[in-house]
Amino acid sequence: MPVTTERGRRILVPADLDEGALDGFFAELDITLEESPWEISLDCSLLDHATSGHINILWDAQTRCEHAGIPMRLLSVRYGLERVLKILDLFDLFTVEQVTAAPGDDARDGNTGVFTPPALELEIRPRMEEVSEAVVKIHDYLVRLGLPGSYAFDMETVFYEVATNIRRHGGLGENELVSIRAIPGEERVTMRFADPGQPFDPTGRKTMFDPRQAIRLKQTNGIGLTMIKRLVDTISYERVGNRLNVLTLEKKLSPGWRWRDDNSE
Amino acid sequence: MITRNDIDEESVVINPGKVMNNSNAHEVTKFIATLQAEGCKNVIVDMSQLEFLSSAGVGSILGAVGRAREMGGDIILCNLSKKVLHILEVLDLCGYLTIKENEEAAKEVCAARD
Repeated sequence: MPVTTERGRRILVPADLDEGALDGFFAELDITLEESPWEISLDCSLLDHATSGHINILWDAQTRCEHAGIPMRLLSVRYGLERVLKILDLFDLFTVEQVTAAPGDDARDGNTGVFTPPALELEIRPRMEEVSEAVVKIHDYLVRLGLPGSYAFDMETVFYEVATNIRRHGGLGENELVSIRAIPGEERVTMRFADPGQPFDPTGRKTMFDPRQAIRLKQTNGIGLTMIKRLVDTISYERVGNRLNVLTLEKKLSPGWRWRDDNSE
Repeated sequence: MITRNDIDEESVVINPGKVMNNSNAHEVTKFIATLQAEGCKNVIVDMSQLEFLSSAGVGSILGAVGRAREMGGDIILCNLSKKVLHILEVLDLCGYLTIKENEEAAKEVCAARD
């Protein structure tokens, strides 16, 4: 059974490739696609030892999702699967949420030798108090990750500005949800916003901010976008299935940064 | 809650509190505009409690500075934390705003303008 979240649907990819398991997986996927969720996440946590058969499943699933106009992500990708996808030059063709070690594995003995902490997922309604509460959660999360205070503050500020822009200008219904993921990576932290509001591509907007003019003209517009662009390293925007804005912001970590693994000895 | 401490007829110290964002930026704007309408040329904004400055807060400051300078006065920011200062630096605003380390230094600016 697919797991329903407020945001989308999660389906477990079987490790066993017998006919029954495959039929069950694709039947579940097709039924889920008919329900038109915002997105579908394929849980790859069982794929410790990925084979070409598993890759075919993922590729087939991705094709079906694309035809349905529904974004698909791979969740809990193990190092083994990541390696196979990279060898086949397919890794970049999937949206991979997070590469993780299998339970019991020592992540530092994996292919990259790097531990990455789990991502944070939030869903908020477009209300000022929910944005404020989420800022606190983002703050607590970034502090738990051991990030430098200035880095965490920049990300909190970016979060607030983006979430506020969506709240004020997205045209969302009061109970529609904005999904946010903060994803720690090897060299950067990625923050991804998905909202079903009106299309808005901030990357296409010019942000000319002249301080002298801003004071003279008592400028109030465009400051947030300027801040966002200057506080992160990359921004990308995608309109998915003509119904979902997906904004991805990345901020690089300092060279040589290593995540603290609280579970390590 | 914004607090106010009058220095003289033309200068006032205000403290906007812990945040300047969408929840209160309009309030700060209105508060300063009222002071300016009363003839207060110089407003010292004591940011010693300020922990978060959003773009709305920055917009509020820019508007107030613009009006103050039209009146021949200024908005003087003081007691900024590194984080708040960083936001102004990111926007390249530090060279265009009057920023002082503490309230005494800010008051000296007001006195020099009298």
